[in-house]
Amino acid sequence: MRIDIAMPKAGLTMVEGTISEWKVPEGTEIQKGQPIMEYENEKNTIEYESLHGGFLHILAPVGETVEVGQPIAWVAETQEEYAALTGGASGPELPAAAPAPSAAGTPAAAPEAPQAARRHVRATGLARKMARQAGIDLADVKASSGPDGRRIAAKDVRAYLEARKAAPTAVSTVEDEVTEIPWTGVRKAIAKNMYNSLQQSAQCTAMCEVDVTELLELRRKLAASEVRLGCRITVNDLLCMATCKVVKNHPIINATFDGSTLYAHKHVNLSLAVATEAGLMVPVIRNADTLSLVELSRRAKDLGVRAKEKRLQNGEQSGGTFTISNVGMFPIDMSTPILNLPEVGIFGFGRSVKKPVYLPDGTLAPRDRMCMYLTFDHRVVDGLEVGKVFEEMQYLLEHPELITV
Amino acid sequence: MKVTYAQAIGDALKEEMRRDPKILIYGEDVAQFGNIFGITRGMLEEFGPKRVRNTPIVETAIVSSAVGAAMTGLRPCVELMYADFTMVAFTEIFHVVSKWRYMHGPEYKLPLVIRCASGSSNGAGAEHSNVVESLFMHAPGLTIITPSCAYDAKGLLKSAIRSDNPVLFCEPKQMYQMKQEIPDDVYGSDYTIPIGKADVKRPGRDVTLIAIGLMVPRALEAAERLAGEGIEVEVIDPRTLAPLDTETLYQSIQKTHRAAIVEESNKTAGIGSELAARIQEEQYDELDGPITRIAALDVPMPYNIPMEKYSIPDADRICASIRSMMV
Repeated sequence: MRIDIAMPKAGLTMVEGTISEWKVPEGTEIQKGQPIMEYENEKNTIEYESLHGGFLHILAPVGETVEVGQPIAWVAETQEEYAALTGGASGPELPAAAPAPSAAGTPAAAPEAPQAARRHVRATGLARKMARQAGIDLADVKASSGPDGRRIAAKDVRAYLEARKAAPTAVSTVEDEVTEIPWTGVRKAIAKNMYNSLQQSAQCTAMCEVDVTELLELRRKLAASEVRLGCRITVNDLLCMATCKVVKNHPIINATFDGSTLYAHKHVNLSLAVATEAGLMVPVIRNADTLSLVELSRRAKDLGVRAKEKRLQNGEQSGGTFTISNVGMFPIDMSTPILNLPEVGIFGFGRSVKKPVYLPDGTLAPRDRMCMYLTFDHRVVDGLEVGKVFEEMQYLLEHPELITV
Repeated sequence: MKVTYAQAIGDALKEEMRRDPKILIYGEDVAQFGNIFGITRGMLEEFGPKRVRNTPIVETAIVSSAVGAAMTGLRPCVELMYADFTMVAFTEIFHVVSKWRYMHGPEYKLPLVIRCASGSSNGAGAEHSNVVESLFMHAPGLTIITPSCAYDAKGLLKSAIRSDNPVLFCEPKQMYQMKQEIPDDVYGSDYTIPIGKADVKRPGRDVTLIAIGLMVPRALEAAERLAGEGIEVEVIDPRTLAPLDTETLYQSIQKTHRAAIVEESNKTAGIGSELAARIQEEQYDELDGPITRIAALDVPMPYNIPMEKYSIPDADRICASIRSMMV
């Protein structure tokens, strides 16, 4: 029997997913529970474990975006069935570990499998005729028609031909090479979220340079106790903890705003901006204000690692009340971070730089200085509140022994 | 002058009967009563009881006697009252009328017209509201005509009466009282409209909307509204469903690359089904999207008037369907 495998629905809002990887090749015999595929939705990359065993036939290739519930593959119970269903072109190389075929039959001499079955191009009759006449391959034409925007119609072919016509007019001795990068999954979601954030709130950024000489010294001591603590405390951990301590005292900053109602949160669900190859991930440490420095450090490290490995669970990127973004590892002093809506504040921390500083007694000394900057939603928060936050934050960072008490 | 659809049909009958003494009309209540819609009023007085006759309520006999009359030299134009009653005479129309010219050779002609009033009419109910063209499009040999305005009705009925082939002539009931301004000299000019020729009722470049009968005025209303949104709809009335003027339809589709069909009968196995199938077979390369069928719901026509109106396409539904084709 043939069993369809559909694009799963991870999370209430997921409507489509993009196949990012097939972990097994076409025709493989897969086991129930075996991870066979990885897909991206708007928020995450998720591994899919097959609910059925059998011989796998892939319908949706890597990069294809499929609606939730639509088939992406099927499995056949037996090799014979697989061969029959795929039109006799039996699967490619049997996995070496596959059990030998039953004694009854000699293994069918697998014919040369004409693989790389061309993906069906969805196009209207007119689009096909135009492509034929213009001598172009419809697979190169970007679809934008039909109810789901994935059908190629005449206007898409026209747009393609016009773009092609326009291109060579730019006189250049160097041949340009343009690659189309699929605009899908995480990237698409980041784009949407960033754009919406800037469109839908009144963002204002304030900045202050603080002295972190003591903070770095404290961190050195804590790092030296790595074995005793069971984890290596980072500057980021101390910044996280300091942030929690401060924003917790400011209900309108540790808050979320949906445009009409402002929700103050008792605890801090701290969103961490994590840079990964796939794009920006923002996992959330729940109730971060209730955690000890060691617990905070472990949670941050765990989330950071899993974000980079695309192993975040569904829901681990939502529900934050305040975000921090640390770019201290790069030669960046400051930026204007974009709010992670519906949150109303995001703290950023730049690199620390050794600078000559006048001490209170009037002498010059080399000190470690760092910029901290806060983007806030000016619809919700005014300068007075922001000023208080900076005051407390500066005091805490310059008296780091208070962070952990 | 302003002419109603009913008046145009009555005038066509009278003018033809004055022209050719072989023409006679008969059916239920066509004589003294002058037809339930008043179409044949005054004809008994003018042409006498031999040429204008009432019949019993036996549709089978009306049609089969007319076949006999037609094959032996007369030119009957009979009336079945509601189109639904064609079903009572189904064998006669489907087998005899449509096939006998073919079966009996060239010396036999079949100059016969069967008129009927079709479609919905404010609560006539499931057995008195049918549109039957698609049933008889399945019978090769029959000419099927459904005019959509007074001018076409007059010209086409005259051509039907003059034709030596059998014609099923469907008159949408709701059109009888619709008026059309036609210049006197044109109306009185004994004009005819050729059978098998479609008419472009409104030119447009974006969508070809093939509308039949009562749906033509609604399609024109929809086209007017859509023009305001920048969608130029070309409305074409085939007028003759058999033989079908595919040339005019295809020329339009080759220009617009989109086709929709709107009809008053049910969607399933309706006129639109046949037209859509033919268009995709023969014009696949010209289509830039799926063919859209706009038709009555697949339900027995409700006698409840709001539900009846809901069941049949109106300008709103036509607009919505056309908009959805423009993605």
